[in-house]
Amino acid sequence: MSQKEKILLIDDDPDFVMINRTILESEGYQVDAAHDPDSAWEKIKSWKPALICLDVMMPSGTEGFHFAYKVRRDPETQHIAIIMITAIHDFSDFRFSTEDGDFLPVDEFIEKPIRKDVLLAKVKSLLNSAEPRKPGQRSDQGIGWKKN
Amino acid sequence: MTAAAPSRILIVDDEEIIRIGCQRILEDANLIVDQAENGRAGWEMIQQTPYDMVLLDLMMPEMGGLEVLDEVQKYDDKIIPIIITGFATIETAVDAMRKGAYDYLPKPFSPDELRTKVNRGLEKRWLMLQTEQLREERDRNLLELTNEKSRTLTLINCMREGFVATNRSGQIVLMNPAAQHMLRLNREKAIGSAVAGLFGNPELEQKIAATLETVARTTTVTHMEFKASDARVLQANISPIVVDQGETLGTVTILIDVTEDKKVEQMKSDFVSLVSHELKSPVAAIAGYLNLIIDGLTGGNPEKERDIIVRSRDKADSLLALINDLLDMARAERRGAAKVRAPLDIVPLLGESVQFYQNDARSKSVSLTLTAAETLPQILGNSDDLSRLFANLISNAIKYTLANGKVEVSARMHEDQVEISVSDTGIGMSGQDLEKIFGEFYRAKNALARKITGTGLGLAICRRIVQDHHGHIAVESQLDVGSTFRVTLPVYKNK
Repeated sequence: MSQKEKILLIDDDPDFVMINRTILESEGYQVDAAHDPDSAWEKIKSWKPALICLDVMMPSGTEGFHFAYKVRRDPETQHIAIIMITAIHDFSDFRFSTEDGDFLPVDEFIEKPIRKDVLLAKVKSLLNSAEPRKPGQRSDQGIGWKKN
Repeated sequence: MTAAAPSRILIVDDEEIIRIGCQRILEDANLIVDQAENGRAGWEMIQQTPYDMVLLDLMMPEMGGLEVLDEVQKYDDKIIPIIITGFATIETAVDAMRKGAYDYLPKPFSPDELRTKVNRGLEKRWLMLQTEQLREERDRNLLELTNEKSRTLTLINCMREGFVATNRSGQIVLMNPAAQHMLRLNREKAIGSAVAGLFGNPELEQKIAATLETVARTTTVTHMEFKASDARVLQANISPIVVDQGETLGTVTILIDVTEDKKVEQMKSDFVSLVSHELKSPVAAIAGYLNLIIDGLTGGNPEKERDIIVRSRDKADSLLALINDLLDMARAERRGAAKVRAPLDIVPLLGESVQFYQNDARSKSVSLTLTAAETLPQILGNSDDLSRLFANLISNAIKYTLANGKVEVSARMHEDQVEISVSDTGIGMSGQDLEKIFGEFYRAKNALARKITGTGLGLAICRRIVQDHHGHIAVESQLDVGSTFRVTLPVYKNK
């Protein structure tokens, strides 16, 4: 199997990482993981993944969003596709949808627990997107940002 | 009126023939009649016997009729005086009447005249007594009413609940200090004011107005909850004041401060969602692992499959530990009679726990020691709970201590309490973590702690057990240096 794109999982739950790493690796993706924003940022800079799966709550509150803005603002990283992993429906009725991508700097949302086919479909569509992402393509502002 | 007690009459006249004549006539009319032959004798008799009526001759030796009349008037103005006069002049009669005589009989008089005047006089007396009795009754009732009113007001004013009564027009007629405080209103100003716009809560005002509108056959109570201006949550129960005919005369609103209840409710529901989340995570992980194998994503790699199975088993174990901790916590919550308490020695209990965890400590190359004072007073406690407390503290200390570290357990007297401390040379905690460490599901988050498993309930259980034993638990810690947990428990006093 030819080596596919690099995907970075950013989540502090080792089970989540293990399960999704196995799923993605079974499709031939190169997968690495980071448990906290600092090591994730280092890995993004050095390993240069094409896509990141980011836990919204990690490690507390809205840190996932801040991290996504950080990725978008850096010209070196702003082309990276971001899937936001959300599990907040345990505590509120609030749901994210793709429309929220209009004002949040991410490409997709996936709710925990993750279903294999949903994850693979979203990863594939983002990575195989007709137009390859290029640095500088997007606004560095999160608000008003829209994909394509 | 006279059936029970016949009226008693005194005849005061110096003419015996008159006395005997009158007595005979009046006794025939079922009256009791006494005689006195002069004014002085009559006056003395009046002071000794309660008479309803006195027949007084004006012209008598010793003490004249007018003189006696004077005394009688002063003595008891409800005795009816009738003047008998031989000198039937208008002047003397008017004079006697002016002095308070009820009537007069000019001599000679007929038996009928006597009977008529006596009967009329007695009737007058009966009316006077009746009137007085009624007045007394009314005064007594008024007094009772006043007492009752002030008693009810006192009760209402002492209520912890707010009490607001309105009349039919929705004006406040009564408001107790509790209501004044809850609604932040000036009672003097509020009383007499219309409810509309007064409470600063349109819904409450509208509900009171609506209660006035309802034609209530049975008393219906309207409940509502609202936030007062100071963020306290108040519950209002509004009922109409309904009289017999089903007419609504006003409303009574009882206000109850339910802020604390709401807080407890919120805490309970937070705890339930927290617990659900904590229970869900391991189950979701197990399901995720199983799906990897079912979907054949392991690529037939037996090592990888084994890894996944072991991880699933660990998740199941942690789920079990969590459920046990939840049960322990529920157990620690139960207080009172259900719990067996006995005076016990702490040191042997500590010794057992330390012994139990020696293997764990050794396998991590951590030294675990117990230092205890020779003799310590007993404490009153539940040995199962205390064993659990010590086990949690010791296992925690071992868990967070790296290889070649130390865990020291000690027991000693501190002031008048028994102090148990568990010190470790572990990874320690930041100040931010220290504040929350005894809360449910709180786990310190840092790179080292991530690798350590736990339910996040251990210290919450410790806190509950200690509180249940009227003790105190505290922690001191320094990041990368270690932590010391100190439990103080009151000494058992055998009395």
